Amino acid sequence: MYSRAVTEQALFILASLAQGELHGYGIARDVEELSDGQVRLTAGTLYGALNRLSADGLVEPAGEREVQGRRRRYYRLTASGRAALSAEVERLRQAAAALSARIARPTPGLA
Amino acid sequence: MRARLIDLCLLAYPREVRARDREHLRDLAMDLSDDHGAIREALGLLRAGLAERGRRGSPARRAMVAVVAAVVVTVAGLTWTAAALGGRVDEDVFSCTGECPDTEAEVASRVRDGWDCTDRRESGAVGWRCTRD
Repeated sequence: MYSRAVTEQALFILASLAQGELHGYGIARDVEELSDGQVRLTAGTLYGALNRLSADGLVEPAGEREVQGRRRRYYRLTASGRAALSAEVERLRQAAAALSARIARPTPGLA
Repeated sequence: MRARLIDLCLLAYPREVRARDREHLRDLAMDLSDDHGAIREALGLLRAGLAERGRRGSPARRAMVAVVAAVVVTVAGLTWTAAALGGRVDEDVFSCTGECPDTEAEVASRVRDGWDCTDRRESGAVGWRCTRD
């Protein structure tokens, strides 16, 4: 069961898989686009992250398919992974709201 | 060259990982190296492979892995440099028809400076190819 904050890379990987099954290269491209180029995964990083997410039960292999002459291993989000993604997005939303409120109304005496 | 570099860095992964996922990792790294460059992918594989070994091994084994990794990085760097610089030569080509003392003097000057010049003569025309490593 998911019980800890996921890393930024893992969060983007989960978000990438939220729209459906993807292979490793597709995930890397989607993550880069989704993060506006801020998160660029290498094969080593992606492979490690997917293994950890699989071990945590957040993603699972979805078989291999031939794409453009290469065998691609697909992954999909599990129900736990979707719940973890939702929880993390909600946590970030609350954190952003709290921080935004602090910016909007500076605490007297600290300014 | 790029494939060889990636194959070399894949050795950083434990044997069982390579046996299971080598092709998968290699294809992924080759695809991503088209986007981000081979050096970045190679270093990413090296780092992730060593981290994977670190998670599995004892301290003594980790130290050995660190030494091996240093050797691999050095060899990879030297190989890469040698490939990048290999075959680089200076080359000048001269030609003339009939009498051409100025050109012959220039070629002779090159030879004195250590250039390797070969000539080719055909029906009154002369050509020289001078190279230097």
